[in-house]
Amino acid sequence: MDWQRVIAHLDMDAFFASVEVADDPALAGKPVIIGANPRGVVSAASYEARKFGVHSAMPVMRARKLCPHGVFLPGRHHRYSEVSHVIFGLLRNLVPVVEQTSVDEAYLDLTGTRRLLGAPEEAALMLKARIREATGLTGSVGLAPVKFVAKIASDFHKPDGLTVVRPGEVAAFLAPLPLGKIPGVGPKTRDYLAKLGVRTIAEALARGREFLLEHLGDTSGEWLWERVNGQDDRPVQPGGDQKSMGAENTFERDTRDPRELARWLAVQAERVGRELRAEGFFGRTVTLKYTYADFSKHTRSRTLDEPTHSTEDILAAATALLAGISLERELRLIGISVSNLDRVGPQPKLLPDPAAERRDKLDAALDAISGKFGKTAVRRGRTLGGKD
Amino acid sequence: MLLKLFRDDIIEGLQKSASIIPAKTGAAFLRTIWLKVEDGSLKVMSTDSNLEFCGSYPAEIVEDGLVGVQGRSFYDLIRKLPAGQISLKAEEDGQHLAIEQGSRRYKLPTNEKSWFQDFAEFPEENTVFWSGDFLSDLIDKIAYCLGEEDAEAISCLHMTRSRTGEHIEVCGLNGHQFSMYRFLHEDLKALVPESGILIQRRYLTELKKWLAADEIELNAAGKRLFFRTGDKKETFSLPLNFAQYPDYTTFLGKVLRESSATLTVDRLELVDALERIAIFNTDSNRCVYLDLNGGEVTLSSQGQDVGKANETLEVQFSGDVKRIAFPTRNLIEILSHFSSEKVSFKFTGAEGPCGVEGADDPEYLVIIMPMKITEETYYNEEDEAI
Repeated sequence: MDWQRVIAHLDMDAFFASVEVADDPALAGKPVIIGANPRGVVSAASYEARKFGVHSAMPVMRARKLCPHGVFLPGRHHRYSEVSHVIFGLLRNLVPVVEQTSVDEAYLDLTGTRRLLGAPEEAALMLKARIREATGLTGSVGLAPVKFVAKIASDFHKPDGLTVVRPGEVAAFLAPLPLGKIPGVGPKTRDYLAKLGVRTIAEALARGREFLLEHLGDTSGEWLWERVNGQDDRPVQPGGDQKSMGAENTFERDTRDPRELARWLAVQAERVGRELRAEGFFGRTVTLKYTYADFSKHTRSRTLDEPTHSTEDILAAATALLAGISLERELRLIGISVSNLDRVGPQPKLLPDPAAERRDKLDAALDAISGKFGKTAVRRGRTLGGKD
Repeated sequence: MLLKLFRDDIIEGLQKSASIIPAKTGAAFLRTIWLKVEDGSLKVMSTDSNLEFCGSYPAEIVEDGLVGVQGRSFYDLIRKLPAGQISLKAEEDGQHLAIEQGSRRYKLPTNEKSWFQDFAEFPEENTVFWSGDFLSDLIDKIAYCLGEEDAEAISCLHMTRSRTGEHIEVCGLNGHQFSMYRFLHEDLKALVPESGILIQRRYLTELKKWLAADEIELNAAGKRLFFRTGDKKETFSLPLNFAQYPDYTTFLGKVLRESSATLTVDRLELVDALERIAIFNTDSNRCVYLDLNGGEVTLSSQGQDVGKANETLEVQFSGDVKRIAFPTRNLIEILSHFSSEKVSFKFTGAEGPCGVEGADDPEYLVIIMPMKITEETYYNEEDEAI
């Protein structure tokens, strides 16, 4: 079957650790672990370290127990950014549509590039070679007709791998995989379906669409049904710099109840704040988006004095904006977005600011718990009653 | 009241007087300039209920009296008259001031005399003599670091005795930035109380307008601070603030004793580079990154839609800080208050307070907090959709 659409997902191999090895060849072959603060977490581990069970997001204390002879380095994130810029500069020069999803991962749309770059496999090998030439680093590439299959494929033969899933091979490729391999399926959904006897993609397909809709609800059930069928119509979105981050909800029943709206804003502020913090962004403009029952759409914005990624700050701005809108009519949708994004945060204060310190610690603690146990493992009281 | 005076003898005093009264808003009596003729001299007085200005000017007195006129109109009229003699006469109806110069005749309505309240007198005992231009420079060196919140202590210039008791220490703090100037002045030290003197930012602006380069007299009494010209003709007074000033010794001590890296750089070369870098700043990214590597510092900035800037300067650097960022404009402002050819940055970490000093500015220290910056995501996990 011919490629109608061909998407490559590039994932650099053990990126931070590999940069350290490239900069200091004496580290080659050694278990290199990025994360030296005993109270912190591992941000990357070389393949030699992974053999000992060390992986990213693992507490450094545990990594030291598993791999006591490992080379633990504090990390030079500025250096990783530099190398990342080299890689992405190169990719953007060669491929027309590049969507960078992190410092070391990207989707590339290779559709229609045959005359420019050759067949998809040749293009992928050429890109890998060019990156290696420029940086000394290897990356793994997955090729598939849709984004999520390309992402799964890039993880298939690491390091320095190339996995090609042709249009006619998607179903067979996905069938034996655990559901948790699908990007976006969290541990809670995975465990819930496992209890119902559904562990693999093939098992989910066998149970059918109605089964997923019944147990996961219409939206999530439909989403998973598309994925297990190998469907994902998301385009590769170029651009690079992220402009905004947002969250919104359409109510099951239109409402103008201020408490209900406030609760949803709290849920959304948490979601947006967590995403900003996870991506290392701060934003200055908070926008409240709302749609009345008659489908008329409106937005209101407030630009803050200082950039923030604090859930409390985002919620406070959104709440103030909500207070300024008319609730004489019912709303069918409400949402928050934060824009004016940058990696530069507020200027810290010379004098202690206990309120801000408490706020930041709370955000960090909730993020850590959510990261480890799932996003609904812990919630702020004001979000209770809403549906995250 | 009847007198004759020359426009040029009074115009500067009128300008100072008019500058402290509210231009349009506020009660009518606060928008008044008072003209008081007694004991053979003309006094021009105004207040905004906090600041008080009183100047004494030469005039040919015919008849004593007191008149209050709408300050802004009176000043504008006198300002726009050509040089020459002017006569001022309170009309017999008690409601107008007649102003005449040659064939020009004007009448301004006057305010109720009962609105006039005596101004605080300059206290003569233990007067301190000081240099007007020194105080003016001092205000410049400190005022840009003051906070904006009028009611708070951090919107005030703080003058106190140093811990060793040797110096007078004047400082400003806006939360992110701190400036301090130390100097010796035995008489002033005796005037400054144990708790220090606090002067609000908005009063400093007016004080600076009033100050001339000449010697001034200074004194404090009745919760007010008084300034008087050396010829004793003009007095300016302001209310003191008695809020608790924040304890700045913690971060000051950290910078003075715990700095772990020092960068020494040509001040003007750095300012020039920063001015260029600032072009690439945006509303959301108003900082310059400093990447420190041995004998070089690389300055950079980039923002969405504005491109990127990158400059490398030769410097002296030692220490463990690799990358640090500051608000570009604040750094330019700080550097403009030094006169040294070289300035040194004393870092206490990438996110700790940073001291700025200059060899030729031995008594001046500025401390600034670096910006909080994050690097690209450490590791990426696809968002849970369900």
